[in-house]
Amino acid sequence: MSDLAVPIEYDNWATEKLAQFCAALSPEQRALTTPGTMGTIEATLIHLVGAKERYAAALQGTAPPDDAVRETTTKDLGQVVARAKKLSEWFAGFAKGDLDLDRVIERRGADGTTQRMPMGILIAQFLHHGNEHRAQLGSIFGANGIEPPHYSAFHWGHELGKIS
Amino acid sequence: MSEPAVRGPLDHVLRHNSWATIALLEFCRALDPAMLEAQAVGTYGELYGTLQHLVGAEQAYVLPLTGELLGRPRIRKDQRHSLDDLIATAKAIGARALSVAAIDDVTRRIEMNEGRQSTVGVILAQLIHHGNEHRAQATTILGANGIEPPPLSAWGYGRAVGISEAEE
Repeated sequence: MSDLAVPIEYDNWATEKLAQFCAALSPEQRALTTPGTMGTIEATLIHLVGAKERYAAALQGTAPPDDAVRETTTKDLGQVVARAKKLSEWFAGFAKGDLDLDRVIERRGADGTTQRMPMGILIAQFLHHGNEHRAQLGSIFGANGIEPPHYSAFHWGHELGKIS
Repeated sequence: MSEPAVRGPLDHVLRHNSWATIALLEFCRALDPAMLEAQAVGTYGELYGTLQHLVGAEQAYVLPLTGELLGRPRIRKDQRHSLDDLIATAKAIGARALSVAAIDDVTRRIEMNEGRQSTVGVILAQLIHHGNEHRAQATTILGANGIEPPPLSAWGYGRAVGISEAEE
């Protein structure tokens, strides 16, 4: 496993784990939030996976696929779980490749402009973004008495036998 | 931050981690000190405790990677350290983590505490996860208490170092 593949594989594992956990909550629970976070459990999860769609698309130089998770249209958390799995598969393959972290990636900003950045920055943002919104989900769970699954990198390492 | 002799694949990820932690600590140092006791339900604890835990854990993660205690003093949960101390330690950790990631083997197994072993890669992944997780909790506390948090994303890092146009 390459150096970058380690945190990418961890992101895949943690995002899928939380997507499955959130999808199994009741609609009332999925509507919970806590002050200081971006919104409800459901909105946070959809944004987490929707952003991952856009990072994958930017790395491929394409638009997200028709069945991609989107904050504006996605309602079905079953679709979110399925897309999280597909994205994990894509990112796992991507991480195994020979990555040119200085390659310039183009991304469409929220204002419609084209933004350019080295691939290394986009990957750092992808990893940051996943961790940030998983942390917000953890805060919402904690604030509402929901015991979340363990999703730290150490727990991932235990599951893989990389920690003993 | 000093430059490692070799640049590794995790370079930007770790540079962002260090930049964001230091930016958050400097932001919090400029707040009314009473704000350091602020809390938000569902997070780790009060703002100061979250910041101290964030830096203290990184100090503990880097110790088995390098055999060195970076920064002084050792960050302990039951002691109050100044934000200046936390910033100095965060800077030392950031520079050393870059060097380790550039030359170490992510599959190498090393001794951690209490007789546990881990690969180097998992410790680095935990360091990255942990930093982002607790910075997110700190910004949740700030937001819940009516303070607009500083921008801490990797987009912000890329703009700060002048190599990216990306914005939120």
